Amino acid sequence: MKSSVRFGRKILTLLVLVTLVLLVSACSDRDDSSELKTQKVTEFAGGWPYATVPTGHFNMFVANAIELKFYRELHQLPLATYKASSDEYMPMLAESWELSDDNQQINIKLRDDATWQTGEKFTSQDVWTTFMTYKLVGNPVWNYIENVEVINDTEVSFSIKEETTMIYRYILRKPIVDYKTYGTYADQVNELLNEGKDETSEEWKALVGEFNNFRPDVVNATGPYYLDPSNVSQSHVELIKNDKSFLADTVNFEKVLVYNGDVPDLTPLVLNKRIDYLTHQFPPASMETFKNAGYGTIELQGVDGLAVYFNSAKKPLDQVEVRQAIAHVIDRASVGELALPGITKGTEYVTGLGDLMTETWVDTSKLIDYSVDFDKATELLQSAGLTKTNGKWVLEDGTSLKLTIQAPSTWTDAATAAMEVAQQLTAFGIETSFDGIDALVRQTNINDGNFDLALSFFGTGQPHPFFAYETPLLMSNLNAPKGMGYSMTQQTESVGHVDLAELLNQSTQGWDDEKQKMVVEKIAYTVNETVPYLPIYSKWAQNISSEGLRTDWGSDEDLYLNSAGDDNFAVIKILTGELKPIE
Amino acid sequence: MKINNTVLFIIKRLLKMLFTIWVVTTIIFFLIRLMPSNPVDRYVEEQMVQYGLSAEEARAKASFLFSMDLDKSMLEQYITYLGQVIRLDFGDSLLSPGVPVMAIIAERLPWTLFTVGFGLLLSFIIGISAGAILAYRRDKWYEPVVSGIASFLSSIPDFLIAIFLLILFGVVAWGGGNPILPIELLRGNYSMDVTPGFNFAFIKDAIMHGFLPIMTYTVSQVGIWVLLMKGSTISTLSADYVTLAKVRGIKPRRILSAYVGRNALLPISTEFAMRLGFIIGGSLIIEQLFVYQGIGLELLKATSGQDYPLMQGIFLIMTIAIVISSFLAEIFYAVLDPRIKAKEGN
Repeated sequence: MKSSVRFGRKILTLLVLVTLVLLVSACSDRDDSSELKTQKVTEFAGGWPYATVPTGHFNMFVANAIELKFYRELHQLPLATYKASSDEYMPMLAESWELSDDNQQINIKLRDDATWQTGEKFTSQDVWTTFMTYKLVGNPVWNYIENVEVINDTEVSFSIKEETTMIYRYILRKPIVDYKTYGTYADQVNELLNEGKDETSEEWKALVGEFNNFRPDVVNATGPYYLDPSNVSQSHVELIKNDKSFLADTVNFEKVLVYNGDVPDLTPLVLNKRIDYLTHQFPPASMETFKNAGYGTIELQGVDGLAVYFNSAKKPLDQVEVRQAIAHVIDRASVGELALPGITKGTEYVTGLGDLMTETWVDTSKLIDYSVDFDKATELLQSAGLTKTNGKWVLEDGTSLKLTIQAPSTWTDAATAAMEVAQQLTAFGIETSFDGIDALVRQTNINDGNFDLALSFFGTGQPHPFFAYETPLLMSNLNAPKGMGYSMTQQTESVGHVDLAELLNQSTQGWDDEKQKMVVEKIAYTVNETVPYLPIYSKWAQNISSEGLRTDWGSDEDLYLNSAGDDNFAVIKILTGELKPIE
Repeated sequence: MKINNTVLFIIKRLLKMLFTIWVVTTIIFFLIRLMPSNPVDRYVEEQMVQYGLSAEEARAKASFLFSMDLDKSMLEQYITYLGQVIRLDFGDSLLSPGVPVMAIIAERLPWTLFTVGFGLLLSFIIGISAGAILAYRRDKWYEPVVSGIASFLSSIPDFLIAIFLLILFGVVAWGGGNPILPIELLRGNYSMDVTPGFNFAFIKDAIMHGFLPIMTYTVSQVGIWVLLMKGSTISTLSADYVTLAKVRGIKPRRILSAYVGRNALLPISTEFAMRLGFIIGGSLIIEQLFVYQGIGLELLKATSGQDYPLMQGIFLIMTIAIVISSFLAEIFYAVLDPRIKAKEGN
């Protein structure tokens, strides 16, 4: 018995020793693993969260694909890139494009020197494949196009269903995939369409189900880099130089690393100076540390942010004067300064658009100025039938005006802003309390009309103002069960009777920018006068860049007017060779 | 035929265990569905907020993705769910169409078991050894120091320890050189150039990638074991049979191992068995910090995306593990202390 106990102890001791030896050897023998060898100088390192196998996959049309957001354009090029400062598209896989004389076709001429990483020539069949696959997955581009037709290897034609300037964006900015990988599905979609079947048919649904499960093991590339699934780890993705690309000699990095993760897990990498560019929003203290470590920041235009949504179905918020009065009470500049210092800035214009977009699309001289003006607010509230008693505003029925303002308590900037707004309104006599909610119920509460005031989104990073109105006026109002309770038909002093739903529809139609501008102005003036929601602050996000530390970003600063998410400037600068490593 | 006490005891416990699993799985089912919002809204919001898609595009993507039967009645869904629980098959993940939930769990769970289990084992071995020594050496100068450190460590949240270790090993450049560990290369479970399998390169690489999570779990738990073992040993030392053994002149070493150690370990071993059940859940924050693809991180993603099948699968596996370990702890205790099963039998 004793000897067996001793033997057991010896085994245990041995196990512990072996474990310790393994741990020590694993940690001390760092150079054995080739991944741990010194990193090459000509790497560009960014970051974006992605799901890894088995949840992550390489079917770029299905959720959880290892898509890498804008970094995808480094290996699967779109037909063109976009420059916001000049509002123009720059050719990439497309050489040129033109609208037919009858405005019913967009004809695209493709470049003839592009090849896929697997060796095949890039042709119009690949473009056709891409858009037929988008048809299968119900992408909105098919709301605007009727058909895609291959003319010859280098020419493709899109038949237009709805005339709109946005169609260029929908067509030109989609990364193009190859026929070799997705062609089987594109052919099947085509067959179904030829048989007169659509997305409601059983055959279509079966194909959707099959496509959902499709897991390609090759990610073919036309770009200067390619994504080899064997170069995807849980830590990062290595995009390796694609020597077959027509841009292979233009780019200056041998490979691009995209680290997997979000703010907490990417922070140490920035501190270790392993990162060149991130769009992640770090806390101000971390940003300060990064700056001290030599990192630069790129301040992006404040194109979107948070607004106070009014529940117009509730009294007295159903009265325009009350909403206007509240707009005159809230000091947007001070809320912007407090919410996320250095990042959030109070909005100047109340149009539902970001300030820059307002100045581009709207004649600002005709807008009502909602500067802080307590006298004006008092006048407006009195005209709405409210009276002030003992420093508090009272409704016509004698009850005090009490409001709550909802914001997710975990969104630091929103919660701070909501508290500040509540304080300002309360100080003016409108008793307002902050209602910190779970972020999960934010949109649901708005949809169901369970709020008085709520902080939610306004503005857009997209080039057309339509997208700025989509979330507040359509998603959170017209298409919601209850939403903001704001009528889409309004009688205004500035533009008379308006039907906002109709105007929004018209705002994207046609090819005439001036005509669109007039429609957008009408919407903006209506929002400005009736204040269904009050934009409070926009976010002037700061991207981290290793300019001067590890990289040289060149001189084209106009590109920084691009949306970082939709038309990323770092990617464009890599593709054009402007971004390069420094010694 | 008379059923003996041990069999009766085990049958009773097994039935209790099955009942507990059914109750918990039912609660999980309804709680998940009572969560505010729903997977479609969550998905649309995430696509808009995180990926900058327009509402139109996000909704189109969601309608393509969620061609599932979320519209089934709650009762129908519950019956389907119970059938799945019995077969341990939860169908496909909502957010990763075509990927079975069990495949995701099978991929992620071993890594969590490895790091959390290893951490628990190491902290247990170190903690009980140190605790026993402290109980024996209460007159030594280091006793209050070590006890203080143990109290301190046991009161710090594990994610703070993780951040501290991350900075200590991976960020601070000691002596102006490189940090001790190349943390940018230690993210994830293993490097992309090793082949998973039973080979030395892979095992070494996996240990290296798991080093910081294991350290975190070890450091965050060792203090508790030290204090538990110290307290348990002190109370055992004052027991009559230990005094008697000393009077009988039995060697101190023999008293420590056969009289004190074994009896002091009794309540701690039960605690250890209970904690084994909890290792399945992993640690959400720790795994996120180290980008360690374990079951905790998967649960975090599933919860934020409201991936019902995946959440149900993970919660059920966690429940089963906790209930089984609790069952084993009871059996273990009954074996060590026969009075318990005798009482149950009567």
